[in-house]
Amino acid sequence: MPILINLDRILEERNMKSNELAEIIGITTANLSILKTGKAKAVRFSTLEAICEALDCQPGDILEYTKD
Amino acid sequence: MKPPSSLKTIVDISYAILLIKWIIGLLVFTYILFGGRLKLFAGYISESFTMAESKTATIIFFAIQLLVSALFIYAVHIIRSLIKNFNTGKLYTKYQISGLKLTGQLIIVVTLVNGLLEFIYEALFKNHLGIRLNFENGFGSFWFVIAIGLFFIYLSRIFANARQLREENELTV
Repeated sequence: MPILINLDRILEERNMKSNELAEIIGITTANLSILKTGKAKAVRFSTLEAICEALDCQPGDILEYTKD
Repeated sequence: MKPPSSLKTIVDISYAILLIKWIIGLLVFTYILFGGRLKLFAGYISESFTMAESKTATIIFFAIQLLVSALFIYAVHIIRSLIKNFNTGKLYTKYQISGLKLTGQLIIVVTLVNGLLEFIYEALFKNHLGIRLNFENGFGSFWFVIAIGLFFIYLSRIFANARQLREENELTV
């Protein structure tokens, strides 16, 4: 997938753990893991909005496009 | 979503009857193969055939018919196992997709071979050569059964598509 998820880096910068974020945005840790590992096929706007709000960042900070 | 129990019962009964008929056919075939004669065939044998030729033709016809019937029974067997598989509650599995496709293919092959056999049978045994393009009023008509076979293949594609959509849905965060 040419879309990379930089969630790990942002979480590290914010000193936040995955399970904390999962709890704040209201998704399961399994689903957050799918997102972090790049296995996700799609991300809902509502999820993206919740992540951005919880981590105080922009969607572009989390998602990155790279050519294959 | 489970299939109705009446569906399973009907398919099970049909399968059992088909299997019994096939075993009887196999016994008759073995009887003819080892020199037995059936009066049933006497009326259809053309005068231009010698007894030895007509016997060989009958054996070949019977063998092909048995093979085609076995393929049809196999198709019904797949439908049975598909119904059992649907009962587990899991839908759009790879087994269901390939099973539906194979069932459709078998139905089409069996119908085409049966049509061809009927054509050759009439030409050889009845000295009647002709092509009909009739649409009978019944569920057993040639074109309707071909359509059913194609419908099964189409259904397998729908299942494949649904499987992909389900995977996407499961991987949507």
